[in-house]
Amino acid sequence: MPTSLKLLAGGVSALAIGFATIALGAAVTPMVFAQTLTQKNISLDQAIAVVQGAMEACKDSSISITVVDRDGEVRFAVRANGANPHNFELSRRKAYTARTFRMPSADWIKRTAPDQELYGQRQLREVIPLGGGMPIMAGEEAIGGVGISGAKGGQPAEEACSKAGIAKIQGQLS
Amino acid sequence: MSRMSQTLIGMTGAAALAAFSFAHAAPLMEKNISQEEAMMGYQAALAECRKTNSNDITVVVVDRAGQVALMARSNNAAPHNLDLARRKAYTARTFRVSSMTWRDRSAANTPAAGQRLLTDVIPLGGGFPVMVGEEAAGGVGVSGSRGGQPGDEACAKAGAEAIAADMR
Repeated sequence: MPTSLKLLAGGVSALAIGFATIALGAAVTPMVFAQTLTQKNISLDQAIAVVQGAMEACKDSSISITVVDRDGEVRFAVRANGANPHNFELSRRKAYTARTFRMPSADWIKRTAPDQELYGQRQLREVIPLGGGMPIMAGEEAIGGVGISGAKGGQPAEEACSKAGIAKIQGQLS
Repeated sequence: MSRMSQTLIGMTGAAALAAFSFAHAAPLMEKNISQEEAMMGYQAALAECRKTNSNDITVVVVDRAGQVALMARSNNAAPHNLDLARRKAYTARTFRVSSMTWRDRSAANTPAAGQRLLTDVIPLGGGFPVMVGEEAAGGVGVSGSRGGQPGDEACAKAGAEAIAADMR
């Protein structure tokens, strides 16, 4: 066999081994059975229902309120009448903090206090150690968060109104 | 400089200030969009879009200062939709015309083309100013309707006009 043909034959068998390895590899790794993720997320209509519920509960004040979705992105947000420049941002960051840590933002304050090992979490972007944010839980899953700023009763009132808002859709979450 | 001449200069300054009658200055009374009006505008934009079966739109309302007053991201929004809606609303507010009009007015090779270099503006239709008489009191931006830029603009216009009607 001429050298060039030998090289060609060698190349072909190498290729065949290569294909066989790939086929075998694919067969033994479970990627063949991979499925698309199907994740629950808060809908816009649910977000608006939460906002309306929170506004009813906090009707003695004009509140800034933000609902974030599963990814921590804003789904619905509205700024209060006469809001201070920082209020809108605070409402978003409270919602984000509650969503990402899956707990009321007031609880996260205690967990990340300066004398705690988790103090470093406060260095994350977008989080805020202030009460008024509540996670929106569908069972064990956090599918969103709500945050309020500007209520007359301060952080405890803001948290209560966030809870009242979520209560409006609690039955539709599972 | 003598103490006396310093005093004289001081008095002249005071007289000049008095001539401009700052003493009678009053605060500006600016009309701005209320929270209730922002919600009303959102609902009006949504209602208009539903007429053409566009049930999945992203809407932003900005106030007189161009700051976000309300934002609503649709269930199936693409990652860019919310920012587009905000920038359309801002563009309409700051130039006091629809963002489609501004898109055409600032086209390449026109003298205003440089305006496109501003931060936060966007040369795309779908933003409409909230006009109360000659005053631009805010803007509404829509992204993601089925009708493209003209469709987005029709919904934004409905929202802006609903707010303006309430403000008059």
